[in-house]
Amino acid sequence: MSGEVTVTGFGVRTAFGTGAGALRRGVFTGTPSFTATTRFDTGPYRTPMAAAAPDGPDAVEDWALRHALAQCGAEAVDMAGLPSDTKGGGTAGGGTAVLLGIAGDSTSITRHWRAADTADATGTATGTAADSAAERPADAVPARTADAVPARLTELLAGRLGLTGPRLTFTNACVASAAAIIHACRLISSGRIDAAVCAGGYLVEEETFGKFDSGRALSRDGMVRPFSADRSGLLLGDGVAAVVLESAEHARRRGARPLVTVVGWGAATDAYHIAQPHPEGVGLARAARQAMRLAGDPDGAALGYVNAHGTGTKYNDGAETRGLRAAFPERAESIPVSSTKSTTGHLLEAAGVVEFVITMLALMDGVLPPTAGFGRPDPECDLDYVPNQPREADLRRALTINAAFGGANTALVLERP
Amino acid sequence: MTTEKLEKTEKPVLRSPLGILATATATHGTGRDEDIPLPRLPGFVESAFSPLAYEVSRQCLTERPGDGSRTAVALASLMGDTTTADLASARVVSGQVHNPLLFMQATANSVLGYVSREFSVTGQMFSLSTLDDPVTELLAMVDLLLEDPELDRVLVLGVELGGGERVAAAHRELAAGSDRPAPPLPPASGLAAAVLLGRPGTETPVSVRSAEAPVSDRRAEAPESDQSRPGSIQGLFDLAAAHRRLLRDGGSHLLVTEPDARRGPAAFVLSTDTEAQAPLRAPTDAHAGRNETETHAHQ
Repeated sequence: MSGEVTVTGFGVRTAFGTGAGALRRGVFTGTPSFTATTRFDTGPYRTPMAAAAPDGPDAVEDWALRHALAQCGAEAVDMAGLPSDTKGGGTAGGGTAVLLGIAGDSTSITRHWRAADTADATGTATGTAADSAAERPADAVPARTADAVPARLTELLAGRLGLTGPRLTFTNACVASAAAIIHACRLISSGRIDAAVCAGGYLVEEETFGKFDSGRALSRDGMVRPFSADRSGLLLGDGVAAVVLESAEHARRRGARPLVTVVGWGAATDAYHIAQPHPEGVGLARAARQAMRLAGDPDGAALGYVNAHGTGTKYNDGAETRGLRAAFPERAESIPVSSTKSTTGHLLEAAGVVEFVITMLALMDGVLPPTAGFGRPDPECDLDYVPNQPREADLRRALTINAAFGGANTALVLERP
Repeated sequence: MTTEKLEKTEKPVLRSPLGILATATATHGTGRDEDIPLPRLPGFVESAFSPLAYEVSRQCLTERPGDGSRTAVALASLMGDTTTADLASARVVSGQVHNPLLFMQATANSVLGYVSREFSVTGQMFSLSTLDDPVTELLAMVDLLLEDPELDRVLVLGVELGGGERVAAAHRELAAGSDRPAPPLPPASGLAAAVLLGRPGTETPVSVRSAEAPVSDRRAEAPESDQSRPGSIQGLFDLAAAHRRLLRDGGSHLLVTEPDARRGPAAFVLSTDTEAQAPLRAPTDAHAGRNETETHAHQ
């Protein structure tokens, strides 16, 4: 690595609310945020449960995702003290990059087809752009069908933040925002750019909820119980977060305080199945080993915590456990591992960046977030999962892992300054 | 009509030259002579997205087999699999039962996973959405990824589907304020192109490097087409055509990408000239002009 990568700011929103305080009160106390969602009619589905903020149906109106991204992005930039490029800030690398992990706003697709369905039934003309009469924030731009285009959300965020550097949108499902962070680390460490805002977002909506329900992936008992013998699936959750990454030199020149340093990253593919993880966690182990090699600690001797992908599905958790054992054959049993999806739900494209923030907080606070909902131990999940209660720990380094459809895996190693 | 020049102050997209190992293109339902029937992929239904992505990947990885553990994959598609998204959504709003297969294939990860399994590719894989020219974004990503000592090759591909009213409406909104045309592709049609790249060497008779050359005013004379549409993968088709021609005839080719709102057009020199495979120096205008055989602006 030619340039050290630091994190100087973040903004985050989950079902617990906005900011680090909300995460500390929820994730770090092991309090699940699942409720029966009222955002849409859950009657047709096997469960009504999700970690959706109790902010009414407007939470998935056309401006909601854009607004949440802009809010978290602004908080991250404010915390970092990073000036906008358009106000004379800028960086030697030609502007701050904006890299997003997101699938686009699916609500615009639903609205289009709902309008078409209504038009068919009534014989009226079909509308394309959403015609929501919901109350909008003052700064919300009009509803757009194009918000289903992932790259458009990146452009909007960059415009709102006044950042003029490279823009790229990662759409690779549950590793998307982790992939955006990894890409930013590569760009910064190679000296191509000085700074990047990396973000991701998903807000619970019917389109995706229905798909996961059809795949019988949702938990049957209204809880997510990662690594537990009685786990029965995942639940979706609201998650939006942004982080400011910059070279240590750039942060030092600005007088910005590094919160954590990103010392390793890796990504690898299972080459096994389009929707299931490799049963031995082969790709996950490979990604973790890459990240640890880059961090100069291939055996994980300095690793004090792993924020696992931990979806609470039968397929994932055993495979992930075996993958961690393969990555750290000498140390796996002594490294605490927890899944914060047990409290936040699965945040899909946003999982990487929100769990990155949670891992940062664990390092900054010296507290391990627990795996909530942990019941009976599963013989195939035999690591230390920090069950149900937070734990104090003097951490120096932590690893955060994500996995996705198609066998994609990512790993990021964070270090306390 | 103006002569556009690359901004001399802009950094070149590529730090080091790349070698082209293979290229492939495929179209379906477009009415073009080269349209193909979709290959059948177990577990994938209704949409041309995944079969076309698989087909161009298969062609490249079969033509130039290599170490899958040292191969990465990046797929660019502005809107992704719109056919699957629309089918699934239409079912939701009409109260029909979801089709789990549409769930499985909704993300490009699924077909990338299928490709990775078929060809034992275990390097990282990404899917991207960009409003900019995918050629520039993908080549820049390859250049970056190949600095990773654990990677030797990167397969990049672009996929674009025709669509109905929703897709057209999205394009109209993206093009608002400009005269960019809506996509000309009919519903159920699709395009895909792939390029397998490594660093230049004996196995890569054609290399590609950044050019810092004035863009000929022939670019401005290029016939109007859908070339300026956000995220259009036409540039990948142009790159593949240039690669085929250079393999046959030798010489060099200047490929100029579409400018975006923040920067001017990027330009790349494709060449069979071994001189071009030396470490990249900032090329002079004269150097680029000497090698230039043709200027394309994704027509």
